Amino acid sequence: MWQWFHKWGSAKWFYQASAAWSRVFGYFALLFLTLGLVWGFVFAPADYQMNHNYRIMYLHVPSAMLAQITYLLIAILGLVNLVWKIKITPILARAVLPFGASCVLLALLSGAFWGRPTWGTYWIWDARLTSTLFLFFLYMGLWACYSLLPASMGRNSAYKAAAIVAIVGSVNIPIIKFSVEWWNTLHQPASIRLTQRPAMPASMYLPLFASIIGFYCLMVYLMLKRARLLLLEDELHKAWVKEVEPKLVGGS
Amino acid sequence: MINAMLRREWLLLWRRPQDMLQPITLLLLLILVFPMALDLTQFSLPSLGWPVLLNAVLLSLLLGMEQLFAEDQRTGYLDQVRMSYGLYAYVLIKLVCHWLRVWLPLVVVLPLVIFFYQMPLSALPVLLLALSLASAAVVVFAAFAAALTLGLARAGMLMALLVLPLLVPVLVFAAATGQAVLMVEPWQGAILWLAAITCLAWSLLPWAISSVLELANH
Repeated sequence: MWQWFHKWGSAKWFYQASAAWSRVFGYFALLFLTLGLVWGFVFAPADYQMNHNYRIMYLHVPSAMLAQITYLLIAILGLVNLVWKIKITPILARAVLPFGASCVLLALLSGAFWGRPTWGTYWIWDARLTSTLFLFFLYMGLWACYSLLPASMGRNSAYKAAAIVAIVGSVNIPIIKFSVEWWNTLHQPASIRLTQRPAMPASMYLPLFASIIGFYCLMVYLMLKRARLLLLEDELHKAWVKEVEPKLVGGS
Repeated sequence: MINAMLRREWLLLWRRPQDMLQPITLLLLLILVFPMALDLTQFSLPSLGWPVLLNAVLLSLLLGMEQLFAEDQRTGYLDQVRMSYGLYAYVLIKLVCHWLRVWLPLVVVLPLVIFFYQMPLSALPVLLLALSLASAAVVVFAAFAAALTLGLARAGMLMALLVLPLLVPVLVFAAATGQAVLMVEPWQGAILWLAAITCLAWSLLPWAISSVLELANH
């Protein structure tokens, strides 16, 4: 157990092991996203009220979910970094950040195109919509922390400061999650929950689940892929880089 | 030691009146410039006064706090405090003093806003309470951003980016309080939410601020 725990402190071990993991998650992402999106966009039955418009759900729901989960993940990675000082965690947090920010944008855009035919408007000043929009700015602020703070306080301190920012910012996540229940909004509450049967037939929710799993796999794939590059960038002059990627150091 | 720190902040407050006057001049200007851009035949001034005041407070406090810790760091005072007492007490005292520094002028500005925007004077006590709670929350969040951006050139932009999204709930509940008071509706619910957020921020953020200052000075 402890040996497993200590392995995460080794940058070299992570770099070598993550190559295979990212490949596996990449293939799973491809498989599940193709399955979920093709099934959802082409074969799933049309809705009795929204007709074909509802199909954008297969993009909107997973991206909105992952937008929140990714921020939570960054905050948890930050907490792990502050408590156990595992070197790889801030790099993972930094690596997954652009994915989360893109998910917010995708959720807002797909929501706008879903809102136009069903609500009659692209955008309303609704609690769910505005809190999601501010989530985007939280991501941007965090991004600015990672890129600007190393200049004033050094890289390791900047990672810890960004972790504190992420933890403080995570108070916004429950506000987004429960905004549809606390306030009267146009946005509907969640139709699928872990604890209840979904309020739609299996031919509609199975492709949705496939798409959600696909988005999770895509997150892990992109996170690992980018973390490997960031790790090389951070540790370019360490001995293990020369050992594992001799061409990289020799060339420069 | 707490007495010495308090005395120092108190003296700084009175020996540099410009620190107190500049943000408040900016605040007044923001409030007075706003109606210039409006077609006053179409908008009702009384319903605009409170939201305009809240946004102006947000911006002027934020801009005024960019240098909150900068001078203490330059003179080495921050390092001395860190080595001797720890930063938590320093942060708390600094925050309370700075909040008083911005709160006193706000007490003067609020009646002016009520006068210029033709709002009913009966709304004053509740609005003052809401303004006090909201400004306290803004001060502690802005201090967090000031600690983070300590030592960066042009910190103001980053501070706004970090703080404004986090202050949205404060703005929403403060605005809801004012709206309810002006419509003569029950306002207690909104102001309790505002007070809850301010209490939460004041109990947790000073700890975050002192750990960020710790990181920045290592």
